[in-house]
Amino acid sequence: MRRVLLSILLLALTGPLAAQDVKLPNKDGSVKFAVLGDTGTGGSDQYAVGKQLMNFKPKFPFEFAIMLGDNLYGGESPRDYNKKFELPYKPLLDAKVKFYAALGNHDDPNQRMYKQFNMNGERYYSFKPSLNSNVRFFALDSNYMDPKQLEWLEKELAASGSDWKIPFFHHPMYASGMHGSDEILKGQLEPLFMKHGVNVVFTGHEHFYERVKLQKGIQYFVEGSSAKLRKGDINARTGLTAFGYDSGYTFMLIEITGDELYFQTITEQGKTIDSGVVKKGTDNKVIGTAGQSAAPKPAAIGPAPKPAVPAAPTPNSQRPTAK
Amino acid sequence: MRELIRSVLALTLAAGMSGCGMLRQDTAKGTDTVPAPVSEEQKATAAPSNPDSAVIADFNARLDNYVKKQRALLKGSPIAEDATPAQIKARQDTVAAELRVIRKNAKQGDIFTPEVAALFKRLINPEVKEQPRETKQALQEEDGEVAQVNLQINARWPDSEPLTTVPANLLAVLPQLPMDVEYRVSNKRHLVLRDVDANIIVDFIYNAIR
Repeated sequence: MRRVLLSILLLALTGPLAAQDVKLPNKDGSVKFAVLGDTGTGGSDQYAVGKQLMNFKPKFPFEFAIMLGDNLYGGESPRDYNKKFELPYKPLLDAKVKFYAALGNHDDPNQRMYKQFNMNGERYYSFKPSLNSNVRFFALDSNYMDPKQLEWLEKELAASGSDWKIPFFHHPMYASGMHGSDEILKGQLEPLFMKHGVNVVFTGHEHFYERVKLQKGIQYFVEGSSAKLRKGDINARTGLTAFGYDSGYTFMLIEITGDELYFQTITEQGKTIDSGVVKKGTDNKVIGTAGQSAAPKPAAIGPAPKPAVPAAPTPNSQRPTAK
Repeated sequence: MRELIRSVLALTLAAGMSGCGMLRQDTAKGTDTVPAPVSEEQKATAAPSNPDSAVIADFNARLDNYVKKQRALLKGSPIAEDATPAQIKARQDTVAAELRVIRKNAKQGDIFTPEVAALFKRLINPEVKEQPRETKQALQEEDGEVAQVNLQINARWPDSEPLTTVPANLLAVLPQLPMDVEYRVSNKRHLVLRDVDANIIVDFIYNAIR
């Protein structure tokens, strides 16, 4: 009896730790970062996500985070900046994690002046996490995609010699929620992305997590539930979803090493709901994405998940790989 | 036919804008979007027989006049690279207050003159008719929220209202603006000229989007 109790106690103690396992390679010298979207509510769920991010930081030492817009809902007074950004992520800011923000439809463009968002006074900008990394990020202002910005993007993409070109912005070009895919944006950005070898795109706006099936050689992620959630909003009938999660708050951890981009999506309770790898070929085009989910998909999307299988790159990623 | 009309209008706009210095080259630091002052020579060449060129030239000149004033005020309120939110807000409020003083007699139509408003509607309407679902989708806000702003010249865009996304197809046909001002949409149909730095409504066109 005592042994049984001891086992239960051990399970209880290790359970939460196991739930917080890092499923990424965690290699030295790799590019490690976090992804947050639709964060600026100042509500308890935002704080819970911030806390989980900090819980993972010692195990996965990411140095920066990208923010996919709607960084401050409602007012933008100094108090709002404090309540909706500085306090929820204080431990991360204290740990010198840099945040790179994109503007959402709830964001005043004056946020570009705010030092902690690292926008350098620009509504759209690009950056490399380090001089010798093979990754370049492009933060776009999808609220205001005027010809000037498109021209800038084309120049930046063409001039970038990086193997991984990763745009991030607010409005999704592919999504299965109440907003759906932004067709106008898609018409303008997709040709540029394809022409200049964009591999992976992160967007928010929809308040859930969605890993979209590979679209024309590009892997799209929607991560708009880092503080807001629209339960049950993923519409399976779009046929776009490789894996979706719309019953909890989430953030992503990403690691890029060589030709592989590993991802792990985690809830505010520290539970991993999706993980896998996006693999690109030597021509920098995405070959495929393999993923495994640890949580049931939303009921509307499909049957209960099969037992997890080891993530491995697959040449054909057009079919759903989240099992 | 619609494509033809659109091409002609786009060419006319491009000619008008380049003539008035609205289209500028990138600088090392970024895109220099300050519209150059309209010279007498440019005014003369920017108004050929096409009446739209004259309307655009007039719009550019009015806008240029506003931007020059705004920039002068911003210059008087420089902002540090590591500005705090309080400093950003204080500068916004200061510039907005100063603009209200120097534009105390401003009224609707000062920049979006009736001629400009008519031209803009003519540019926008084919886009809305051609892509009605997509355009409406782009104007749809979070959780069904739509920016509902009581439009008044020099008024602040309320903190409580989202800054409605401007559909990219509309931005493609409207004259490009310097970085100091931007188009926004209120109530899904009114086109607003908003001062980005001061967060005030500079001018607006009722029912520009139908």
